[in-house]
Amino acid sequence: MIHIVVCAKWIPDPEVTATEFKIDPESLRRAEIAGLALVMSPYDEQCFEAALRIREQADEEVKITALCLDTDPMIKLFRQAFSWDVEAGFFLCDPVFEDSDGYTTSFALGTAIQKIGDVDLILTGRQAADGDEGMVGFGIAEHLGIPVLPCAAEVKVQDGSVIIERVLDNGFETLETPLPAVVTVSNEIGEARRPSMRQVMRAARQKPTVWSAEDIGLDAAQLDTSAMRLTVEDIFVPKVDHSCEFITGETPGDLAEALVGKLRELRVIP
Amino acid sequence: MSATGVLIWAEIADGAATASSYELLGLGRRLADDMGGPLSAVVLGPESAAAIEQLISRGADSVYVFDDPDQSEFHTDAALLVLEAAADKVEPALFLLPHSSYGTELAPRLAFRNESAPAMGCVDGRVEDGKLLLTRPCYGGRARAVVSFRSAPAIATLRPKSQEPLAAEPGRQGETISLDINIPPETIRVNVRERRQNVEQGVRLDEAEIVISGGRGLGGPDGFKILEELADALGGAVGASRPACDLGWYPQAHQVGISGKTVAPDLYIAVGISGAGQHMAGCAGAKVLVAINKDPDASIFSYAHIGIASEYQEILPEILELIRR
Repeated sequence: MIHIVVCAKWIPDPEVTATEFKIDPESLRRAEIAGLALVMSPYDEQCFEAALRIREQADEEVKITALCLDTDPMIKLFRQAFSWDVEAGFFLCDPVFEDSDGYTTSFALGTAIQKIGDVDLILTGRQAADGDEGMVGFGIAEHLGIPVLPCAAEVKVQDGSVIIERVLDNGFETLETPLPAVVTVSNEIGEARRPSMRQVMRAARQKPTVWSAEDIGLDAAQLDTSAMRLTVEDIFVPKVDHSCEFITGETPGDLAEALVGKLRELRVIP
Repeated sequence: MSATGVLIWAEIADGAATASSYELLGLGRRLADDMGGPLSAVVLGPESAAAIEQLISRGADSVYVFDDPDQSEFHTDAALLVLEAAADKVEPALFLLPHSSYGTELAPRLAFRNESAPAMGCVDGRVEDGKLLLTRPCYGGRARAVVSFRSAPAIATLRPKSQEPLAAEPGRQGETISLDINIPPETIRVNVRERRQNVEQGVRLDEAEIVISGGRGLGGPDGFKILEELADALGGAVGASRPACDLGWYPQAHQVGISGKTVAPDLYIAVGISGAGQHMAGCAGAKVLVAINKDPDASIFSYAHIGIASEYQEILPEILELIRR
C-alpha cells in the first residue's frame, strides 16, 4: 500500500483584488472584510489532484490522508477534501497556531505526520497562496530527515520511488528518489477535478480526527510567538503613487493613435 | 561580538554569474556597509572560476569557491553542504540567496537545518538602529511585510529585478578562498535523470524591454495571436497571467507573477488582465504600465500609468497597423 498525506491550507480567496484588501494597523494582520470568501489554497487543491492521479494509476492500494493546521474549528476544508474520497483526515486545530510561522507550522505538521505513521509520500503546495513563502514542504522534509522534490508539474510513484517533473526557471528536470519523500506541487499540474454532487453530499457526513498541539506531544512554548524565528515588524499595503491617465477617443483608431503617440513621446517604443 | 557581514550565493549559468547575483551584491554591499562588515560571495561548480573576477569587481570583498571535479553535476543536496560550510566559515549576519528555482529550495532547507526560518522573496532591506530589516511581498503580493530575525545568520531570498546591481569597478581587489568539503555520496539522495532548457523563440521574457501580456479577458487562446504579432513588431516578448496559463491558453513558461517570472521592462502592456496582486507583484517594476481592459473598474487601472477602457479586439489591430506603418 502507498500512503499519501496531503497537507492543505484554508486561506482568504487569492482572487480578491488588491484594492479590496486592507491591513489592520493594530494587530498587523489582514483586516476582516465582510463577505471575504475563504477557500483551499489552489496549490493544495492541485496536491489532491496529484494524489488522485497516483491512486488511479497505481497497481496497488493507495490511501490518501488529508492534513490541515488551523485555529478555526469551523473551516470547511475537510468537507472539500472528503468530497474527493480521501480515506482519512487529521485536523491540527489549536488557538496556539495563531502566530505560527513557516518554522513552527512545518514542525507541527512534521510531528503530526510522525504520529499518523507509515507515511510514504507527503504532498504540499509549492507555496500557500496567502503567504507565498514556499517553505513548509522543505521544513517537513528537513524535520523528518527525508528527501524533498520541489515544484512538481507531474508526480508518479513507481517501484517504491517517486518521480517528478520539476519546473525550473528556464526548463524542467526529471527527479527521482526512494520513498518516503516530500513533493511540493506546482500549478502546472493543472486544475483539480470537481467532485460530483453525490460525493459532496457524502463528504458532509465525514469528520476528521481533531488533534490539539498537546495531542501530538507539543507544548505552547514550542509553537507560540516565543518560538517564532522571524518577527513581523510591520505590514502595509504599498501606496500606488500615481493615477492612471485614461486615453479617450471616438473610434478605436483615435484611441490607438493617441496611445502610440503617447508611448513614442515617452520613448518606450520605436 | 555579533555578526556584521553579508554572504551571498552567486548562481552560475552559461559560464557566468547570473544577473541576479549582481543584484544580490548590490543589496549585500549596502547592508554590509551599514553594518560595518564585509561582503562575501560563494560560488560552486566547474564554471565558478570564470565568475570570480566579475563578483569582486561588482562589490565582493572575498569569494569562496567550491570546484570539485567529482561534483561537477549540480545537486541541491550537495550544494546545501557547500553553502552550510561557507556560512560556517564566514559567520555572516545575513546569508542572501537568489529567489530562483534552486535558491527557493536551498534557503528554507539551510534555515531549517539551523533551526531558523528564512524570509522568502524579499524585495528590499535596510539597517535601522543596528537591526537588519527585510521587506517582502505577502498576501499574494497585495501587502508588504517588514521582518527582523531572532538569530544569526538571517537567511533570505531576493526577488529578481528588485535591486540595482553595482557597476563593475575594474581592478577592484578581493580575496579568493577555496572550499575543501567532503560530500559523502549518501547525502545525494535525489537522482537527476534529465535536465532540459526551454527553447526560447525570440526575445527572452525576463530580459525584454517591452512585454505584452494577456489574461482571462482575452476570452481564449486565440487572443494571444495579436499579442504575439504586436510583440514581434515591437521587438518585445509575450507574457500571460496565471489564470490564462492555468486554462492552458498560453505556456506556463510565459507566466508573469509571484509564481511565475518577474519582469521590469520599459513598457508593459496588460491586455484583459484584472490586476490580481499576485500578477502585479511580477510586473510592478515596469517603467510604463499600460492597461487595456473593457471593464473601467478593473483593479489593473489602479496600477497602470496609462489606461484604455475598451475591447482589445478593436484597438490592438489599429495599434499594430500604426507600429508597422
